[in-house]
Amino acid sequence: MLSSWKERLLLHYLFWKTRSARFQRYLQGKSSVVKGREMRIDRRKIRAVAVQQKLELYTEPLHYAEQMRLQVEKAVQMEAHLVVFPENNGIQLLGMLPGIKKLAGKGETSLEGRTGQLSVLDVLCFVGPVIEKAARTIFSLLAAKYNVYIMAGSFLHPDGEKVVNRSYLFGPDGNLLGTQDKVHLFPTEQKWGINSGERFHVFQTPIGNLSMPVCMDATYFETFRILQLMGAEIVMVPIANAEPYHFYLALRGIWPRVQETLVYGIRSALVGSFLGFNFTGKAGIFAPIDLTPKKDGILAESLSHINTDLVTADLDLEALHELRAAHPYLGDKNPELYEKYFPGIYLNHSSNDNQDRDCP
Amino acid sequence: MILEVMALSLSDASFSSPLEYEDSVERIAGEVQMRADLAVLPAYSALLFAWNCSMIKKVSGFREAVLSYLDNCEEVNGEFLNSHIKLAKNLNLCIISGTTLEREGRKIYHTSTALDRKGKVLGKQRQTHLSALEQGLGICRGNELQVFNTDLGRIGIVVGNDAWYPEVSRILALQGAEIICHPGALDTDHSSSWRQLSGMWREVQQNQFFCVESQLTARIGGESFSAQSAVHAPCEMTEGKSGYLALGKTGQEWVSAHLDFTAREKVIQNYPLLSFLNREAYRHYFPQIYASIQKQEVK
Repeated sequence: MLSSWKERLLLHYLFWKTRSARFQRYLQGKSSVVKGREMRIDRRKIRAVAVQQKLELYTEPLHYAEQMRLQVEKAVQMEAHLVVFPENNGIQLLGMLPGIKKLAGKGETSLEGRTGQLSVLDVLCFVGPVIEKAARTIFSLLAAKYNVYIMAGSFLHPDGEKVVNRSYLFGPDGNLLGTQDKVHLFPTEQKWGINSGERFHVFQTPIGNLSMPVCMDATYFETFRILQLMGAEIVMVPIANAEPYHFYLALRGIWPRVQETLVYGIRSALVGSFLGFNFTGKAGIFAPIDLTPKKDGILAESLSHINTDLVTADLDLEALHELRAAHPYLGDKNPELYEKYFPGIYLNHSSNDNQDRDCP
Repeated sequence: MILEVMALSLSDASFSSPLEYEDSVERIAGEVQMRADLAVLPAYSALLFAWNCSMIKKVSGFREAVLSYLDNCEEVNGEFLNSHIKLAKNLNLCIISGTTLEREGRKIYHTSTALDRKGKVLGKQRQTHLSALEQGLGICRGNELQVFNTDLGRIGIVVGNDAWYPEVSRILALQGAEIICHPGALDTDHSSSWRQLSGMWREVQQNQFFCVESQLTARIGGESFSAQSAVHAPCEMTEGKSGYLALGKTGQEWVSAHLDFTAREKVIQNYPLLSFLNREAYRHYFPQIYASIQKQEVK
């Protein structure tokens, strides 16, 4: 770790640079093209925008705030009720760390390899609180300024003695409506020492019952089934997939989950390269096959998997409930079967222990 | 270990007697280049058998055809089983013989039967989730899911409508199923390649087993069934990462493929999906959440 006085000084500087008043002054000073916007809500037409964000390291946090503002403004110009940002949406603020841009620019493939004893967990524990505080301020201000619901994406940061990958939802008054910790961790995250969440949350809002599990959570039907049974209508999944894009591999996450649980799904994607990770993915908005014009389960999807983009679609929540009530195949339940096998079947199967790891 | 498997759609099945039925299955098995180890037949195969062999009335509606079959299901199912015992022995082939409707007391179940190479019944699997049509017909849900230990590996059966319920495949996968056999029957109006991606393809990708999917192509009582039979595997071990080892065209009589167990094992070693299930999280919700829809925490 850095020697303690340098560490304290740097941390103090980062908090000073990301102080709320600075973001507030900056964002309030920006004129909005959608002044005095009123949000009219019709459950038959909830307009969602999914953000596909190309990763860029920002030395100056106001530049990050400006980039996020531009995305929200574009979405609001599209008359969005809900804007959804990607997983690890705070990586871009790592640019504030001295030397990180140089490392990334050299195409370094490992943070650990260049920093001696410094682990990814060390970095997250050090700078995570700064990023989390900055993100909360920025997205709260943007939600209120543009009178729109914002799912800010997820951020890796410490919470007490744990480090979590947590997504954030803000209401149009700027209030934080809630958070969701990633429940299923990617192997790399396990290796880093991130802790998984153990609870799922659904947030009741005028634009529908919203939830926001993170990336790998959409690999497992359990996530969506639990959320569906908790009342979710719209499931937002921020992703940051560090693998080459492939149609079928990309199809394995949110799309099948939407089909088996009859919810709307919104995928936001972080794209671009950082320290040897090449993130690819397409922002998209998905619905049960029967509610899509081409009967393909896709309402909108980016054409690119590498560039910044916004995609939008309208969600008809009433049609969703009509479909659930009359679906020819889905909608049955077998409580006797579930009681016989759950949760024992999971406990009997050997799996990686979900060990708690503490912040150093 | 490598196995040769085949899925039969019973398309163009012009048989009118059990003997002709056996001949047509033997002919198809002969067309498969390698000697098959396992054959899977589609859902409603016994109903089609009874329909074509005039063991039930030639009524005008599908529902009426099913009711007529139920009136005579013991006889139909007996003949149907005998034919498959002969076929399994003659072809030295494990057979998942599609599905029957069977009565137990006052209850009716939609059931698939597994036969070993000697024609011995390995076991039965009842469908556990019903479609709207099946509920209307008074069919009951089974509430047990079994994996059969065979010389071909550990086999599970996802019967008909169970393909849309991920709980079924997950329970079978966690019991160690390596090959899932799926007798299916999609009505033509609801059939499409996207719909099928949301069926067993989806299950294979989240459980990393093989699946032999047999989809009925037939017309019974005015109802038309057609979809694509397929052999599935995890994307990483298939050409173009498509998740298909073989994919038939709609109405194709059969598809076949090799199942390479070593290749599957490598995929799982590299990316052991089931190892990352969060069992601690599920304990908070399963099974009680199924009984209390929307009464859970909604903030």
